Amino acid sequence: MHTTGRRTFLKGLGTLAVPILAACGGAASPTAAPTTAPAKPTEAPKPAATTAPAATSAPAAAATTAPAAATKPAAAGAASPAAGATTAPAGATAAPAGAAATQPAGAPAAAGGPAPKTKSGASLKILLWSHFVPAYDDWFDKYAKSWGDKKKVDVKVDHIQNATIPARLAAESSAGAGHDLFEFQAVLQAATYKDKLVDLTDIYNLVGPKYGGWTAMAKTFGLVEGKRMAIMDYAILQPHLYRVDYFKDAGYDKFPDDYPTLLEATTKIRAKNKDHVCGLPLSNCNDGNHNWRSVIYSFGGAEQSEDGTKVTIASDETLAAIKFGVDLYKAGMTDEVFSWDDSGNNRLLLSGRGAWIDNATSAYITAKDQAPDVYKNSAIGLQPKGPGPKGGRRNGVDGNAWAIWKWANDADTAKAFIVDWYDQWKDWGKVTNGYNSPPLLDMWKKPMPGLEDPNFQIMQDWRDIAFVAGWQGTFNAAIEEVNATFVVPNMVARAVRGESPEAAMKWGESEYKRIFQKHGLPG
Amino acid sequence: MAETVSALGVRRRASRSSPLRLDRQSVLGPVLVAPAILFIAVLVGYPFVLAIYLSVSDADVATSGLGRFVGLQNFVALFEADVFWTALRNTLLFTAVSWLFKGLLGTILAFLLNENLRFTRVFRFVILLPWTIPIALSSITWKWMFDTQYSIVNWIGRALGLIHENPNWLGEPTLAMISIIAVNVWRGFPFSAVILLAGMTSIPQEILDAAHVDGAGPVTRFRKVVVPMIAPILFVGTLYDLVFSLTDMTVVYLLTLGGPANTTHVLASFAYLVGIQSGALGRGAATALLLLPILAVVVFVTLRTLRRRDI
Amino acid sequence: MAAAAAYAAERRQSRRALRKKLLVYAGLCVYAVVAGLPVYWMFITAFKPNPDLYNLKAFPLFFNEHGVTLEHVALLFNKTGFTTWAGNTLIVAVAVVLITLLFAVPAGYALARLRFRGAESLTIGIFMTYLVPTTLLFLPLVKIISTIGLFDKLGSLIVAYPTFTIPFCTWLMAGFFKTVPFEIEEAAMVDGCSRLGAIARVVLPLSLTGMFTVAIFAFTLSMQDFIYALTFVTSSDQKVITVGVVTELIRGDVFFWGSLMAGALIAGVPVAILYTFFLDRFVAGITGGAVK
Repeated sequence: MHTTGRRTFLKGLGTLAVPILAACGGAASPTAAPTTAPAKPTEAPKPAATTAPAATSAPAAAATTAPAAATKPAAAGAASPAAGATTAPAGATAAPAGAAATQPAGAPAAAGGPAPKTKSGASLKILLWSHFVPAYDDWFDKYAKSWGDKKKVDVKVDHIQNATIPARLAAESSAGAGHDLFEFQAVLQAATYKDKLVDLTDIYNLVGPKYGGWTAMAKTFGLVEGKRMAIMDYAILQPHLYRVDYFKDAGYDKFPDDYPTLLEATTKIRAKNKDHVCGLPLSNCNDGNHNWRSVIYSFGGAEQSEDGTKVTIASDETLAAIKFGVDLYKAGMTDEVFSWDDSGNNRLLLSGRGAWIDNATSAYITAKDQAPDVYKNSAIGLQPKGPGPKGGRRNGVDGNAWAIWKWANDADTAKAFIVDWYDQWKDWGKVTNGYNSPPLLDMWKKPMPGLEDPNFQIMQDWRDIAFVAGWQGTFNAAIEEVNATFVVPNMVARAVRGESPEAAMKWGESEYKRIFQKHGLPG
Repeated sequence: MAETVSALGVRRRASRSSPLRLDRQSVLGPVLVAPAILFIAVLVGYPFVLAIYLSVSDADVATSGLGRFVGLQNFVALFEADVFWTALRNTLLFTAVSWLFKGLLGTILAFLLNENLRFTRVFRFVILLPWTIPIALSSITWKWMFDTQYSIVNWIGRALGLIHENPNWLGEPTLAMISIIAVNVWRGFPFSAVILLAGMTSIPQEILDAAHVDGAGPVTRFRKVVVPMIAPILFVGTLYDLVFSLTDMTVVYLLTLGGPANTTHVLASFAYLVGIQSGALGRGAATALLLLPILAVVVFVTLRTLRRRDI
Repeated sequence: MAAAAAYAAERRQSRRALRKKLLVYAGLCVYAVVAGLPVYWMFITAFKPNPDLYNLKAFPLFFNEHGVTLEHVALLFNKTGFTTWAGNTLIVAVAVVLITLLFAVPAGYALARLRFRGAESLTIGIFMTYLVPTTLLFLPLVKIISTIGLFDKLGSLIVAYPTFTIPFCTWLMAGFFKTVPFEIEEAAMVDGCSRLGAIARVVLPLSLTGMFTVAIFAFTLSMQDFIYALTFVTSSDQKVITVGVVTELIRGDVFFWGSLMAGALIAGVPVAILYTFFLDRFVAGITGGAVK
């Protein structure tokens, strides 16, 4: 009774009182959140709902302060966890982190309520994407099996190609059968399937305090109407992979720290050799989605309001980003970017023509075997900063998330598995070379597992600069469709193809609005 | 042909003389057709009707049961999206052009193979491969062949001096559409040839010989003897191919996913993106079913004519 | 055609025959190149080591400095369930062929030869089912599949595929039955056969070409499907080749090109061989004998 009362109340708050909360919530709620959460797990939605307004100031602050830490990695490395908490004081990240830090791993289980119990003899069928790092799949299969043996649970793991997950989920939803536990890969459909998924708020609250709280990104990911319908398992960061030798030849000792310099460098590199190009996909592919979000977000352009109801894509910042995209295309790309799928930029780097790309480390790692010369001369670069007053360092990334179907054989068993999986973070960090980027703050203590390698160290500076689609709101159903229909890369593509940047942006805005309105949002 | 007359004659005779009820056409016919009809009715009938309903509902992929009835709202929303119009145009273009080329190339090929010269079998083997390799996998091969850097097509073109710059096969709207159609023709023409060839070899040699003795040249023989005899097969084959091209999205989905800038979507791929990938099942169904009324009329009329005429 | 050559006694005619022959060969060669080049490319890719594959300066049409590798094929067989997938594909394809023949041959005959009420509308109705794209049809269908307990089992595909093979094959068979001269069947009936007897003894043997075409067609089509196989089955031990290869050899933004191509070849080549070198001869033998 108490629970439902709370929930209804919160829902009411969410829909009616957002403006009020925005005005007063920033200061009051973050401190309240972590302390009240343990006692009353159902209250958890509140912090999320109330911290969101605070995030207005946070991204800018976090993003602008982060570079400082990044440019002197040694200093940041020493004081990382503390620094993280102090450099972003206003941010949503800071409050829980700080709070958790004061009461470190003391009584984690108690803090989040009782841990879910496995049911002996239950079965657990898990659906995952065929991970880019095959070793992770091997690790996972083995781990899941041994976990099952220990708990007397019949565990079975299936892997399918990431692009085919939505179709499979649609089929399972229609059949009301299939797997028990699955992973959303990049395409987060938590809002779509909200009525068919198990509320994971309890394990969100259980796991969070154990590891110093969730990162800012993980906090909104999978949050639907105040409930955790999916929780982030890891993010896939999209650093800039670049040729050290080409940049050096053009007079740059390291990867440029901001976009204007990057443009300048790209121009110079190409002047030396016209085959040495860069590439951000302007095609219907997922890399196009987050690559251009990196640019737009860093320039300060946002897709929607924090409450996720208004489209805010049309702005001076977005316009500047689109114009920059056109300039960058002219300076450094060929028309091949129009034809790419997600592997197009990987191949650009592998061929030796690529001066830089914005991609998951997969392109870099595969080069080791497939193009050793390229590997030797390549490195991972930090997300550049955008110019202007709202500019910052914001990297568009892919988020993955756990979710459990309502018809799961035993939801508690599945939950227990998730909880245990987070405890293996060192293993999966190591086996993927940090490709699986953790969603919990304490996991960002340097050196991070799998990132000890000097070549990968810079990935440890990503905690506060990673953003999933839908900034400054959440990754909601409308954003899902914006993503699925590739509005962002196509908006830039239009400008590159000769439309005026203004017209391209207007087109983009109209697509956003059309989609938002179809989902019953004001747009 | 004279068949209709004799068929009537047989019917009279059969129903009069045969002691077996099963020999009666009015009994045997339904008995023979029923299993097929039942199978289809159960497994396609229900989904089919449901799909039609979905197109006028607000169902999404997560809806259990039926969505709310929303009238023609989905269709109205479609007409407002400019991608839809591109997809519609592409669908018609894709279907018509690939249908034409498949028919043309297939017919010529059937004749060449029908000559039965030495090594024909080896040729037939090679030429059949595009059709027997699963389309999902050959589309991936083509994607690799159209790659901007590693394209073997470009490499050969350059080696032969046909091109000097690399065409951006999948990145230039017109070229991308051409590539999609080319792949579809590549995988489909052997099938047209096989159907035609099967029809040609099923014609008793005597009839062809007789025509030959009567002094008919190869062209006349084809036109006057072969075509009428295999017309039903040819017709159904091409109709099938036509319908299949209209509703298929594999090539588009795997080669371009509708890119660049949504210029190469066909209705089926756009429907998939909207209905499944982004979850708006109702609108997806509306997109997919938009051509249904027109197509239904076309198919109905042609099949009916085919059966009536008994060509 | 062979007979035609025998008649050609005159020299002029034989020269014309030679020219025609060359023309036919030239035509076939063009076709073979168009059809075969991508397949050749698959073959090269399947056995080429990665460093050569990604080397822009390497000669693409043949193997290069690192020679030939069996690595991709080994990966396919050792690290994935490829043999299981191939077995599954075969099971599904054979079952689909049998079911299709069982349903389509009688229906096709009825459609071609018999007159009865409602036949026309019904059979046209069957054909109409093609007009709904499988890309959406699979969702309602999955409900039925799961109701009969076949979700995530190979059986789901054996049940689903005939929905798109039967309609076409029925019409195709009807076409083939029509090419069997009615007089032959009539003669058999006059000789005392019942209609069913005439069908079994005369019509079916004469329609073998058609039946084999239909069988091959159903076989191939059951290997072409992607969306049903993708959404109905996810367990690695229940996958068929197309889905297995695509879902386990495309990992995010990395394609395992060599293994993908090897998988495609192994899936496609046997069917072409089957058709070309086995069935073809078999069919020719039987039909030839029956008619003469």
